[in-house]
Formats: sequence, structure tokens, C-alpha cells
Amino acid sequence: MPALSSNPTSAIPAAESAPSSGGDAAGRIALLLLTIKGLGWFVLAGLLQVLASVKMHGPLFLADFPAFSYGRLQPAATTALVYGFLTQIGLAVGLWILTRLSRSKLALAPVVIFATVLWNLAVFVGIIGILCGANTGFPWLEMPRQILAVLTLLSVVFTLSGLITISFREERELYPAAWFIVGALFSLPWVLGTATWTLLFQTVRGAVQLSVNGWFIHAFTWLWLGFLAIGALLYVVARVSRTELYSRSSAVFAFWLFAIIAGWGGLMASAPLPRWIVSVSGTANLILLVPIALIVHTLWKTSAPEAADKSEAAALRFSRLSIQSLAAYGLLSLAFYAPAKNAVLGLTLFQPGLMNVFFTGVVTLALFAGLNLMLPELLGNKERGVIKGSTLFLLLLGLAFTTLPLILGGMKQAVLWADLSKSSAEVSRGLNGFIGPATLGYIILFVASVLILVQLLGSIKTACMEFFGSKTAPASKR
Amino acid sequence: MNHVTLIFIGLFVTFVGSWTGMVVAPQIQLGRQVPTGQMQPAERPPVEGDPGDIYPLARVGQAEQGHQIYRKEGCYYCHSQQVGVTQADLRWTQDGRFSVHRDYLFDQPALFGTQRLAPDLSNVGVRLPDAKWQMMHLYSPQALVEKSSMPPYRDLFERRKVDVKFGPSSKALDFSEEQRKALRLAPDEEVVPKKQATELVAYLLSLKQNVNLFEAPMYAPKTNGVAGVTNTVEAASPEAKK
Amino acid sequence: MSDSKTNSEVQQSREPKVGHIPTPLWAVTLLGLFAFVGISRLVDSGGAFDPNVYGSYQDFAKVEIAHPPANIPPELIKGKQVFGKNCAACHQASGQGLAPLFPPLAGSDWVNADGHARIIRIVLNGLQGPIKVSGKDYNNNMVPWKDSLKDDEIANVLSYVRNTWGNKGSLVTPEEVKAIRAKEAGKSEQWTAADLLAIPLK
Repeated sequence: MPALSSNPTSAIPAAESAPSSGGDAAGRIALLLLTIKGLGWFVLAGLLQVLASVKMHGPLFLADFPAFSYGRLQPAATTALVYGFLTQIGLAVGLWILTRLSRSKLALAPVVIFATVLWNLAVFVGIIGILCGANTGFPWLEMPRQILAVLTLLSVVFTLSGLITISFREERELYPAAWFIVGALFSLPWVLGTATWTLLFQTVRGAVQLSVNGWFIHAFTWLWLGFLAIGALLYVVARVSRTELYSRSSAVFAFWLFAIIAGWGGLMASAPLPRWIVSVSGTANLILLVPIALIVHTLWKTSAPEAADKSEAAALRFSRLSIQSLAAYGLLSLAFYAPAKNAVLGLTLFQPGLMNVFFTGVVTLALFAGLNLMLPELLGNKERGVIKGSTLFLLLLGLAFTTLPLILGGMKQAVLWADLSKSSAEVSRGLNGFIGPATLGYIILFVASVLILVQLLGSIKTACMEFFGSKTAPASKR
Repeated sequence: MNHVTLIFIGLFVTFVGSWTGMVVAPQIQLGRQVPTGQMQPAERPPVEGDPGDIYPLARVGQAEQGHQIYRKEGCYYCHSQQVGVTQADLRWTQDGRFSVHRDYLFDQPALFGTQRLAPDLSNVGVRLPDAKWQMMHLYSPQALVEKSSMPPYRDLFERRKVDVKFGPSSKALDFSEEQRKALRLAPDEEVVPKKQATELVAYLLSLKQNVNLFEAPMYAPKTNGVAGVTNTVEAASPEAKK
Repeated sequence: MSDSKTNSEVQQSREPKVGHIPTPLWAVTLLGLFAFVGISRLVDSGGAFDPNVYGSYQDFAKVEIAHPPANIPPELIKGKQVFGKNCAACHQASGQGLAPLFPPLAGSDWVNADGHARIIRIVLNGLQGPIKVSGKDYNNNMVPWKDSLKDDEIANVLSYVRNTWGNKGSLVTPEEVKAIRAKEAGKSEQWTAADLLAIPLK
């Protein structure tokens, strides 16, 4: 795959590449490599998730292969999605936006390429490790601790590249998208490194592990993935709508609120921790609604209903759906974390449903909107590499099927558990009707991911052939 | 000030803030609760029935090995190990109480679980103390609980021909005729637990949060009737199934 | 060629700019409201940041009520607090004292004596000069506590001292302390061991 992407990009004529982009050869290879690898992980994560989901109602499926038990497939799928897909696509889009906003090329591009290769190798080894039973036991930090340490070090490379890139800007003032992306790049090594250190090297004891793990998941969700998604949206929506960002002060205010609040939330009301920790977390979860509302408001006011340029229509549609998902996520998470006397949603199917709203609805759609602007530029044609509206339909179908049944199922599950006359086998049986559609949703998402990857590889191949065509026979170019 | 520097400093401060609140403060408060024999009794008010510095007891080696198998197999993606205070949680305790920090002092890592697709196991050693039942359930959940959605862990067992000379192994699983038929076990075949199965069951039976603690008293006996015992009994006795 | 050049120029000018509408008032109001609701909930039911308050308990007092300490009289629990604040600095939390400066209370013949007359006086007015405790000689200065501790506090702390670290004795009542305080109201100097030994135990 790397060979494929390196050919067309290494020698595209200078005039073809926009002078303001990450347009030198190394920069293009770095961004394309991150994209291809990321989409590859999207496919793999989808496959693992489909298998895991099938195992939920067919426990005898693949029962004689210990590597494919639900307890190993599920963490492998989450890891592939978070560290393979979302993180790499996020890096590609985030770094590209920084090159655009600073009107300079991607700094340290060769090192970024090297780090990307190592990152993929590390995640691959980590996932094999999980499937072989080397799971650490901490959600979202399941890869062996050596791998997590390597990933932390590699993340510093991406951070440095982004910082140097943005430091070449001419204007002193940063566009808000850059605030969020630079913030995300700062957060990644900190959050990943300290959590790995506290949980897996200098270990803490007892329920403090739950507190640290909760802190990590919430900080990683908002300060890394969330910041990247918001950064991409702030850039894409304003650019595609051909308008200025509705309110800079709102965006920056929301940035600081996120930074202050995000690390405190995320513990379930039922956690076996002293009451004050859980209460503090509940308060943070409530206050977090304010920056979410502010960002949604600003983006919605900025967004035009229709894209000015037809080729950017899909990007705008992706963005608007991502904004709506963000609003939905805020409200649903309030319900999820709310303390309740009787039935609680924590530990039910509501949680994977909620995570799917965030992963697929908010982050994936926002980053795909970014890809829709980035790929045409990198591939030298404004129609090329665009993720089409038809694929968007598949993604939305998958999103609906992987969220609504799980959210409803989670509510039913909470009620069923609270009914003490029901046996646990009855409760499990009562949920089958909800898990089935979710499996279908995962299959749809998997198909969509394959389509997107195939489309991208096709576009790169076209760009490649066009370039070679133009080189060997310049006359036949147009 | 340069914006990037501002972001760096601002994020660092907020990061340190949430880190202090959610990691350092709990560690300072709870970290002094250390395993058996090293706890300072003066730290907590005296309470009758609180075992002070001898709870929790360290796991025996076999159960600790089992804990690692539980982690490896990812059992905690379906089974939680945390009892809360809601009505629903009464199901998982027998004469019980909710879970607290002290219950997990020896768990490295502590496997709280992210989902409750299946029963909570905090008290499985109290609710289902039958090692034989646990063994058979691990080998074939469906043979014991109808339409169970738990995958079988056949990998932890050895299915072999009965030794002609010595006869059936004393450790062989004691399935009924119907169950043998359902599992397609030939009359001269037996299922013997490997080391890992023995360890895992030892771990499961060691899971008991049934000690009266100062911060978490056992519920008054009158709640026992409510406490979803029906559910556990149904699953507990192999006889009920037959 | 020229096409693509203009194209890129257009692209360059297309980098988004910011508008300068201030943060809407509703957001600030919402923030204030949520912060108020959240923080008052934290104050009401956050367990006052006590590590022993879990689950359905609102605060530490409720946890203690849930566990009536059956064998331990409340006087001792209160006395322990007084001891920790005022006495443990010299006599140590373990009641062992610090030889050769501070005499022990654990197993001390003075503490375990039948009557309370002498120990109440020691706490009220303090003590100075040589004293023999459990067969060992000490010579130091203990400050009077009659101005800083109330009758019930002195009674509770003495009850605690007489029933901890292996000591077993009757509880001291606030009435006894009150009576002796009234009797010795005129005395301003500290006691000496010799003076005390002249006073009957009961």
C-alpha cells in the first residue's frame, strides 16, 4: 500500500499542487499513508465488531477458537477502531488542517511517515496480543503495556510535527479549528502516557483503578477524539459554507470549558467509589453540556444549508449530520450518567449505543467531512477521493442500526434487571431482539468501510496512472 | 502571548487539575488502605464486625492464577464485578451490601466490568459455591442453563477416552445421561478439566463480598427476601434444571 | 496551467475567517445554572469528601448511625477525638508515652487506679516535678487543661484513656469532674506527685 501511494505523489508537478497545502511530496505521502492505514483499520475493526456482535447471540459460533471468544474480539474491535481508525484519520485531517491554516507544508514529514509505519505495527502487534490473551484488563488500554508506551512516544512525533507546522503561520491569531487541533495534539501524549503509567507501570490499587480508567476514557474521548472532530468541523463548515465562523469567542470559550471540565466526568453513578468522587463526576457531566451546546450552536449558525460548490456537497452533509450527532450525544450522555434510585443505564447496552453515537456519528462523520476536502487536494483533482453521498447513506443506516436498538435495549435491560422476579437467563433472552438489528448495523458499517477503502484506492490508482501518463506522454494529458 | 503557548499552559493547568481531582486525591485518600496486615487500624473508626486489617484476605495462588485467566478471556466484557445501591443490584448480593474500594485491594488489575450482559460475579462464591456445577457450566453453559448466551470454554478442558486400565478420572465432569447425549459424549469418553479450568473455578469461588465493613454494612436481614434469591437458586442447583 | 494557478489562489483566499459575535448570554446563564445545580448537589450529597462515605449515605454521620458501635460507649469515641487533638502529641496515639520524657498511660498504675480523684486533678491543673509511673521515674511538666477543656471533654478523654490499650477501668463522669473543679477552684499552681499522693483515691 505505501508503494502505491508514494508513486503518484512524489513527483506531481509543482503547479498542480496548491502552494498553500501540505503539498510537498513527503507531506502528501504522510497524510495519504495515515488515511489509507486508518481506513484499513476501519475495515478490520468493522470485521472484528461484526464477529463479536454475532457471538452475542450465537455463543456456539467459532466456539472452538479461543482467540475468537467475545471477551477477546470485543476489546480487539474497540482498540482497532480507536487506535487504528479514528486516531489515524484524525491525525491526517488534523495535521492537514494545520498545514492549510498556516499556509505551510507539513513539518517533519519523513519522521511522520516513519512514525506512522511504527504506529501501525504497534497497534497490529497489540491487537494480536489481545486475541492471544495478553489483554491488560483496563478498558481502552487493553493492549500490552509495552505497546502503549511505544504509542505514547510515537504520539509525541505527531504532536511535534503539528506544532512546528502551525508555528510557521503568518498571522499571529489562530483560527479556532487550530485551537482544538493543537489542544488535541497536546493532550494525546499526556493522557495516554499518564494513564498507562499509573495503571500499568506504577500501579494503583483497588477502586482507584476505576477512577483512573474513567478519567482516561473521558479525557481521551473529549480532549483527543472530540477535539479532533470539533476542529475538523470548525474548519470544514466555515470553508464549505463560504462564510466566516459565526462566533470566535463562543468557540474559544467552549474550548476552555472542555479543557477544564472534560477530565472530571465519565464515572457512572453506580461506581464503587466514595460518594464525593462520583458526585464530582456527575457535576462535570452536567456542566459539559454547556460547551457542547455552544459548539453546536456556533457550527449550526455558521453552516449554510447547501454547499456553494457541488463537489463539496457531501462534505457539508457529513458535517451537518456530525453536528446533529454531537447534540444528540450530549443529551443521551446526560441520561446515561444521571443518578437514579431504581434502574440505572450504566452497565447496560445503552453504553455501546452511546459510544456508537460518538464514534460513528460525531467523530467518523466529522473526519470524513475533512477527508472530503483533503483528498481532492492531495490527489490533484477536486472530484477525486471524495466519499460520496451514497456511502453516506450506508453510514447513516449503519449508525441508526448500531445506536437506536442498543439505546432502547439498554433501557429495557435496566428495567428487566430491576425486576427481581426475572431470572438472568430471561433478561438475556429479552435482549436478543435488540442485539440482532445492531449486528445488522455493524455489517452495514463494515460494507461501507470496504466501499470507502476501495474507492480511495481506486482514486489513488487513477491519480497514479494520470501522472505516469502525463510523464511518458505529456501531450496526452488533457 | 503566543496562542500556542497559551494553549499549552492552559491545557497543562487544566490537565493537572483533573488529574489531581480524579487520580491523585482518590489515591491519597484510598491508597493508604493497603492489603492485609499492613493497614493502620487507627485510620478507621472501630466497628463491631469490621474485620479491620484482615479484610480482604489474599487469594491463594490457584485463585490468583484464575484471576489472570478471567482477565485473559475478557470475562469482564459481559460479567461486571460491582454491586451498586439500586433495587436491581439486590439481585447480586445474598445478605449482601454494595461494593467498596476495600473489596478490590488484591485485584491487579481490578476487573469491574463495563457491561452487565450476564450476572454480576462479585458474590458468585456465595451464590453458586458448587465447584462441580461451575466446571460443567464452563464446559457447556447451554447444558445447564437453557438458551444461555455464554460461550462454552471447551478450550480449558480435555475431552478424551476413558483410560482402560485406571477407569474414569476422579476429576471428570459429572454430566447426566441427557446432558451427555446433548454434548455427543460417547460412553467411553470423559471431560477432564485442565489446570486453567481448575484455577478459574477457584477464582470464581473466591469472589465473596460478604463481610460487614464500616463503610458498607451488610443489609438488614429483612431485605434478603427481596434480594433476587429466586434467580440464583434457579441457576444454582443442577437438580432444578433436571 | 493558468487554470490550476487561479484555482489555488482561490483556494488560498478561501481559508475561513472568524466572526466576532460575542458568546451568547444564554450559554453563560446555562453555565452559571448548571454550575450552581451541580455544586449544590455536591455540597448536599457529596459526603463532604470523606473516603468512608459510599453509596446511599449522604454524609459520615449517616454512615456512623448505620453502625451503632455496640460494644463501645459513645464516651470513648468522643474521648478519642479529644485525646487525638490534645494528648497524643506527648503521650502518643499508642498511649506508650515517650520515655524518658513523657510517662506512658497504657498500663500506668496512676491511670488504672480505682478512684478518679487524682487523675482528674492532674488533667485540671497539670503536674510538675518528679513522679514514679509503673516503677519508672519521670521529671517533666504537664500543662493545666482546666481552661481549654470542658467537664465532659475531660470526663470522656479520661474514660477513653482508662479503657484503651489494655487498660480496663470505670468510666469518669462529667459530674465528678465538675465537683473536683469546684473544690479546687482556688488552686492555680500545678500539682506535684507528693501532693497528689496525699489525696485519697475516692
